[in-house]
Amino acid sequence: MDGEAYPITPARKAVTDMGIFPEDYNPSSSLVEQSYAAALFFHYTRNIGKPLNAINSWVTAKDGKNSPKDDLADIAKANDYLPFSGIWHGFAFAFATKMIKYPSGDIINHVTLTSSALATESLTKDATRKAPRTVKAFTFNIIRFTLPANTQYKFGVPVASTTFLCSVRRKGETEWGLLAFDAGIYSSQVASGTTYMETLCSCASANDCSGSLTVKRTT
Amino acid sequence: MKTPGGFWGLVHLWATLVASAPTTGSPAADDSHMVRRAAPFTCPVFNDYSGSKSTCPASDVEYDLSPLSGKTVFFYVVHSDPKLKTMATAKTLDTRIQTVRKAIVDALAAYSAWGGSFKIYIGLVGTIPDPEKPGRGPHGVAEAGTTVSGKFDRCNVLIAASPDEKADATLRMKKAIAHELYHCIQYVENLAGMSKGTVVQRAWWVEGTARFSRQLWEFFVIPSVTILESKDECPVPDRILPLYAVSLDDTD
Repeated sequence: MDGEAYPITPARKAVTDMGIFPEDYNPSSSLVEQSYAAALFFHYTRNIGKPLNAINSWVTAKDGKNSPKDDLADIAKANDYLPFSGIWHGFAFAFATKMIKYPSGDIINHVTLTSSALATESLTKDATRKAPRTVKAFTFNIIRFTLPANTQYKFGVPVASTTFLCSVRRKGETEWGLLAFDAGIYSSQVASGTTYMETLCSCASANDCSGSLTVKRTT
Repeated sequence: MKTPGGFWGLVHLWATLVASAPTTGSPAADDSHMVRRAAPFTCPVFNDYSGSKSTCPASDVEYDLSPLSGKTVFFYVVHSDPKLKTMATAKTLDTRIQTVRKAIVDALAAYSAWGGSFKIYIGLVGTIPDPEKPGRGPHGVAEAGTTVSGKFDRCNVLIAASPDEKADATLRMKKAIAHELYHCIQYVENLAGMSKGTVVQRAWWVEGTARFSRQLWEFFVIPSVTILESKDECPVPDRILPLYAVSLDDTD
């Protein structure tokens, strides 16, 4: 069923809030709990070059395997015809940086997670050097960690996981680096002023990244 | 009945041939694949869309769009629908019919690689009732028609005629056609998957991919449409944003 109803105008919020557009995708809920808005995910698979036949083959293969557990397993599974292998983090990343496009090339103007562009967190100088501690890990949103002068921090993930991934970039860098298990990424140490690190994480369940990102002061 | 001979026999033969030849009921006579059929048309029975079995009450026009991408398509118009009856002029309705026909052809061309050969019954109605939302109905519905043994037999589609001829309304009607026809592809390729589990469990991939496919079709057929989609259908600034805090791990 195409659930749109006539007429759709901004004044009819009851209609426009039905969650029936890719623009309505809400990463604070699981992907598998969304219907029309899940089109955003399929647009992303297309954006990264997954062939239409692969997506259609996956639809065909959903032979009654419809539970959220099945769906989430699909997302994490490596399989030639499944379009989801290894792309969950990329989807989260593309969402946060608003890079998902319609086939025409127009950016999909989907909802954002906060009214501001970034969430922030300050790391203080008295942070322990002895052990990594968990810090905020936004799913599908960039968080900027502000660091004091003359300090260096190591960002890392405490456990190996295929369903939780974090990307990091230092102040001024345009490229993001993927945090690998047991191989953290260090912030730049500056003599004066503040610097920052930005992180973006994703979880397969879309809303539970508890304890997944750690930071340790090394200098 | 005895057939007359001689001159009147030739006249009778000519009249018989004329009467048995298919007539081109469509105003667009260049649509060689489209035949208006004089034979009585049996409307498909819908099982689900309104919660009970129903059928189109009357239909006096059937267009056979076969063969189209290997699909056999029967397009009919439910003239008895009050909203269609009260359209300003016959020309107004005819414009809708032409639009729907073209949208069917375009959408099935986009899906030609999928679904193989199967039957589609697609009806144009004034409104599609929705018991849960009185006064407002969906643009379209699609369901699988099955044999008594439960095997896929045909895809039944209803499309609500656009309420006016403005560009937005017409466009949404076209979009509904592309969307519902993709559901037909899903039915024929995976009827079992479409019927197992709860609606919620399958809704994300069933509706998500149908919407995705519909938007691909827009790009191939009318690329500029996506711009309209984002600014007209999706007034983002008007939304109440969801709770974001649930994704915050504030253990620091």
